Amino acid sequence: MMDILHNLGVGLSHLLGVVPFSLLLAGIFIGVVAGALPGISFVNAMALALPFTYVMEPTNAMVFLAGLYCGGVFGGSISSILINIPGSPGSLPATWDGYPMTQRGESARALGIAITCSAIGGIGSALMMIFVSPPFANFALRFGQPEFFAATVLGLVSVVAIAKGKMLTSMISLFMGLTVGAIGLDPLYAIPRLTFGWSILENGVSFVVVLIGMFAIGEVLGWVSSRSPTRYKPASKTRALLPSVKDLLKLKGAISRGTGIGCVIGAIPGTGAIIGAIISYGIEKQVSKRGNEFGTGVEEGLAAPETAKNATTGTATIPLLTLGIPGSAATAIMLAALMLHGVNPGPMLFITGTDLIYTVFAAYLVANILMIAAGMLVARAFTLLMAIPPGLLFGFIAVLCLVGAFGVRNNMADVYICIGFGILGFLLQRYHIPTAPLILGVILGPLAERYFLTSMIAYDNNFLIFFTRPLSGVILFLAFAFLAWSFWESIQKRFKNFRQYPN
Amino acid sequence: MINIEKRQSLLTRIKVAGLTGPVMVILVGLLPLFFLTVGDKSQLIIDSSKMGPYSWPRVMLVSLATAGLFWGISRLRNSSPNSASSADPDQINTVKLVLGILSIVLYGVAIDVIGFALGTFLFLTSWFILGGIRRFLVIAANSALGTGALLYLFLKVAYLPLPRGIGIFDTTTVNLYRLMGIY
Repeated sequence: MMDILHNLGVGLSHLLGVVPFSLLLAGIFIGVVAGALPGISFVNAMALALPFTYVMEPTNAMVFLAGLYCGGVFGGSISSILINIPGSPGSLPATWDGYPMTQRGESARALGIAITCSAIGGIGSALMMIFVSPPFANFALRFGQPEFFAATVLGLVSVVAIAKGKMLTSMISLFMGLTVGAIGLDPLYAIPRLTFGWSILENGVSFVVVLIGMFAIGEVLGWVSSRSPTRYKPASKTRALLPSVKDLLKLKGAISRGTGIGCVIGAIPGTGAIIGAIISYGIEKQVSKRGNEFGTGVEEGLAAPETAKNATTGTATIPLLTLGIPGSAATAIMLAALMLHGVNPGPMLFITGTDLIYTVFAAYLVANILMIAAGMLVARAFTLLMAIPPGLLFGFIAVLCLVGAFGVRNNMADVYICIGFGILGFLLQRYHIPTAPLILGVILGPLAERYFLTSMIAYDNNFLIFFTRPLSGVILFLAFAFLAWSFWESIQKRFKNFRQYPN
Repeated sequence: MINIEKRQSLLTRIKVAGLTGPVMVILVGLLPLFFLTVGDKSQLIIDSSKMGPYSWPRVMLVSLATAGLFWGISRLRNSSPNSASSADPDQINTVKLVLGILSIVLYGVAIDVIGFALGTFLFLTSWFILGGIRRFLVIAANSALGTGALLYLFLKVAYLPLPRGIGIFDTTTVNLYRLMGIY
């Protein structure tokens, strides 16, 4: 413990040097701005920044990328809250309760809650990374294919919990997403499926393209065709209003649950901010006394996923630093930055590169504190942007989104796919079918299929393996418990009705 | 006579239930299944005891069609001939919607042919008019400056290989880039 604190102190003193601190600040601002602009994700910004890190010291490169990562994961919530378009996938739940707050004229408060909760989640995750890295790495090392499959099932089940009262339409949306996720070459035999001879589809459909299409293009079409003047209501305040300590104490349950869930989910490779945020939203909806009001602008519904989203950042870096396994696209870019400098992450790095490791730890801690100021400044600039007439604004949003879709693989086919999903997103909105389960299906579908098939091969088609292995059994039990919990209220209601009117 | 009344009542219920959505879902679920079934399997050599490459998408498609069927049944059961129409209260302007979709689709197709620069300028101009902006100067200035700013951002900062168009449009785009100092 004393060793950790001593090393952290050394790391902090390195970080506070002029160059590393300036790079950290630059990273945070670039990340928040890139995250806030729909169509330009922070992962793209990190990828674009990668060549620039070559001229930096390895520690400085990691500090810069850590700032970009922490700022970028939060940045997406600004556009989610203000214009109902998530800037990054993890900010999707912020549209459900954050945007209704904006429609009520409470955008400043919503932004303040999002910034503060994201920072708290990020700090919690950074502390977790600092103090629990080694045991966490051992835990994640025990995950086999059945455990990964069980974890994806847990993620998919969360859709049902989120969709109280919209069970059937949510299932339709989820199966649509799972079908879209199955497009392309199958993971075992490399046979094209659902490609209809279109070779670009053999690589599958990128969830980023689906996300941009469903939300941004769908929203643009919704605005242009709407006869209702309240469909698009610009934010009333031009600044974020940080919540008071009293307000935060009211949200302490949501914040602590969000931090816990985010930290655990973040440590599982292949998950990331979106799964952490969605599972956290689903659990909060079950736990909160105002669960039935979620989706109408409830503060807990905004606080929990916002906390969980940034709480994944620190723990997602644990498998990278301790095992050399990147759990997400963002940490894969960090791995590339380390490799560029000939640094191999792994257990040995904790012995030979303590300076680097603890400076990175300190960077995560400080980045989440500085993010509050960066978030407030960018949010202020963004709300001023909202003063632009919607006729002009939505034109530019459409262009940004289509270029964002093009930028995923530098291919025009993704632009057409994005437009197609935009029209689908608009139609789903018209039929009151939730769109979030579709996105979750596209993300988790390919993972679930791959883990399921590889488990079947490894264990001779023994379906029971998912239940007999202790870790996957426990995760699946949690998934079933989650499912039963979400059905419990309606079962209880039906039982009550039956007892009142038995005939 | 009773049969005709019953049939009319059923038709009204179908109309009221708004079954277009569920029917679409069922079709979306079932149509690709047909293509999957007749797909080329000549290159496929798999152990029959194991799950094949089509198993997972088939399960998803059948589940989608089944969920659509249940959705249709539930909408039919919850509707009555006397109930109000289930139409969305947020009425849409169909003409604007069609024009909006057309302009986005045309933009997607056009940037491959006439290039990103000209395509974006024309798209922004048409979109601003569609968005209710009527002042010529505002439209022209925003389209031109906006296109310029986007070109600078994506080409100079992000190094995106945006389409330059074909033939004369390619030459025009390159000249424009040279003029802007981004080529």
